[in-house]
Amino acid sequence: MKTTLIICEKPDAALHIAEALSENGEVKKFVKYETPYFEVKNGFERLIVCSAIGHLYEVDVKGDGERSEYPVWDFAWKPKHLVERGQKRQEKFIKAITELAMEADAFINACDYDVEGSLIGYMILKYACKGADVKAKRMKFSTLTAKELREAYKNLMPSLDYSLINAGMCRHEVDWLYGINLSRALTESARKYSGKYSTLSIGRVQGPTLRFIVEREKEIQTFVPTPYWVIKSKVNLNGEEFEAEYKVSKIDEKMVADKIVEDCFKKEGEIIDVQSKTYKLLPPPPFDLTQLQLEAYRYFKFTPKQTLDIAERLYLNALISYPRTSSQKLPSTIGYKEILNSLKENPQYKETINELYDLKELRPNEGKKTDPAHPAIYPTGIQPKEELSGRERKIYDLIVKRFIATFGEPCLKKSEKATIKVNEHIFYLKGARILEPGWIKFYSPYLSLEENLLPPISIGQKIFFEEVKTELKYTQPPPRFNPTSLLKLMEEQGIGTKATRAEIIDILYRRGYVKDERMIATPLSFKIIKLMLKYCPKIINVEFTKELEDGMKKIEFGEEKREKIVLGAINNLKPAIIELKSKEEEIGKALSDVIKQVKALEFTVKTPCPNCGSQLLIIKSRKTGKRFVGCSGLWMGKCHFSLPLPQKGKLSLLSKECPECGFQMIQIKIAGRRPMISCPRCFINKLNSKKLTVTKTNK
Amino acid sequence: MSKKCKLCINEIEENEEFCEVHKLAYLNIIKAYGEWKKAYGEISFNEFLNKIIEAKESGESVKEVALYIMKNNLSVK
Repeated sequence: MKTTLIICEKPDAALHIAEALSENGEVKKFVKYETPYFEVKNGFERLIVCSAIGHLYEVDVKGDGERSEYPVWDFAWKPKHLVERGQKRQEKFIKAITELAMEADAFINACDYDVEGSLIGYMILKYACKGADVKAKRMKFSTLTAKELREAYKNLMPSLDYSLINAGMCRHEVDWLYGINLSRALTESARKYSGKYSTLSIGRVQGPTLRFIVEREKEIQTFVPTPYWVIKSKVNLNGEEFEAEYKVSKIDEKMVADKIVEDCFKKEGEIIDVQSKTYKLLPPPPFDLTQLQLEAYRYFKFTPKQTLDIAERLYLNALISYPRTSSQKLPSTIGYKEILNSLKENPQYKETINELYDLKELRPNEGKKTDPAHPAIYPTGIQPKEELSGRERKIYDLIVKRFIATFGEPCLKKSEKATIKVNEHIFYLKGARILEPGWIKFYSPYLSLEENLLPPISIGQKIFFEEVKTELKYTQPPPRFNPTSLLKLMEEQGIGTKATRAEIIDILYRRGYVKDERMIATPLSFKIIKLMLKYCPKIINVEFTKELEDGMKKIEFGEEKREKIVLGAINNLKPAIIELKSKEEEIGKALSDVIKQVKALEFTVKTPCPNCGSQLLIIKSRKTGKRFVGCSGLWMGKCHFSLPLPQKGKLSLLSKECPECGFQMIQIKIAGRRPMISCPRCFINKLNSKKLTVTKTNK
Repeated sequence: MSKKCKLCINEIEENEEFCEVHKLAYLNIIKAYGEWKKAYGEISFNEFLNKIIEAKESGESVKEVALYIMKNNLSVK
């Protein structure tokens, strides 16, 4: 009997594939070196379905090298457990797959169909399965539903997708060359100068991304507002009060604004024109990953990484299609009606889908973006086997409603505008009404349009201005990035990939380059960007990164050679690294100073001591090992103010102030739990009042 | 030994008082004063500085430079 080894990306996917390909529904589960795998029969074939846990092989320095040595230009692909610490599980997976490969006559790469999936499968076939990549076939699918998996198995690609593999290898190799050399240059410079170790990193995509944040921070920190005035007015129309807008929304000079008030206050105007317009709001396109991440942030405040992780879980439970897609297309082959019929089994969507069926035909409003490998994100229609977590339920509902809305009819809106003349000044009265909600009712509660109805109005009608006044306003600084707006900018600028952008943003937080949800650049990030600009500006140049990105994209389509791109990257990087190496001391000094400053800031509370006005600090007691907020006046023996702090978890000071007492808020992060944000001062006040109540009750 | 900015620990260029960010804040203050004078008809430099220190829209570096100018009685260059 022929034995085929099928390699999947994750254990959950392996189980789905085994279940789908088993001819009698029987799936035998085995465990080898703590690695699960499955065996099923399919016709005359014995199928062994095993999996990786993400990448099992990584790029590393060729041969043995010191972890701090740089520059390094020679690299090789090695098992991940030999490259990174704490990868014991990966070692066991490789061992298990190597043994299973010995039993196999044929091989299939069934990892996710994209650059990363193709690369994961290829490396396992080449190294763990001893060169099986040359005879392996490729399975291509976008959902883990039994129907699609069986189809994919029937229509296997005859060989591996080498253009995707080469593109993946190139990306990893170039990123490694940049990351290892630049990060080591920074880390080593700081370590050699101060004798202390701090992980500093900068990379091909990380550099330009950090530069966006630093440039924005500079604009915010140096922003000087200028005043302007807006005219606020209330008019009486058929006994009802309405707000009329002045023709010019911003008035730059106070004198001009005051004159308008003088001319119009308690005066009668006349409607000189009435216009109405009906227009259509088309349904939204189906979700690609970035749009899903933007929408999830808008409604639930999930970071891009959280949304991606949740979407991955939903995909591995076969509830949605592959989420790492940039497509906004829904081909009819996915079976619209079949999916909607299955979704209808859920009472939550039954009524909406019935309304959709009243429409003439089912045609999605597709967007422009495409992806050669996958369609847009859509629900498979399969009902969850286990109860979804709160967060999973939210993302799932958003995807389902977006999918339904995309088939809806356009929303019809009517806008009305009346022009009022008073003493040579022009005001507008504006109204809007929804004539047909169309797709908007399917997308509720994620979008609702407000109506602002005007009473019947006609030309020549008199309008009395009951109130006209000026309001002083200031120009606003540009907004700070949040993880989602940064992700959007990265996509617009063409840097990073849909699969890596969220992780890069996360790294910026982990390195201490940014803090808070509204991203604030720390002094460390200012210094890193300044050094990069001084010694190797090309590295943080968006155009240069984009060029490299385009080259790598071309490899995916077989239009460029991997070797050429890697060599080009080395040639660009070499002079920069040589320059950094020659200025180690200068760079080390600059970085060490700022690292000290950042570390000090981590422990300095902005709010002054309420007793003596001195600086408050987060102090760790030498006696008890406990942390608390203490007054710096303590060392002079003049103040004993202190506040207790939670002892477990990673503590950070936020830039937010407590709305109750104005004290600087803190955040506690414990792995696996949602971060806790609290005010140390109010917390102790509450605790004291509770204690007081308990004591009184006891008495 | 390199010189430090009057308002932070950053190093400064030869013949400068402020680091890059504080210098930019200073230049923006000077530029904005002209716009404020036009907006209000007339406003003294000190009154202008007081207003930008109070405005929540002003950048932190702008507030630091404005305070420094007020404390040191510096006039517009």
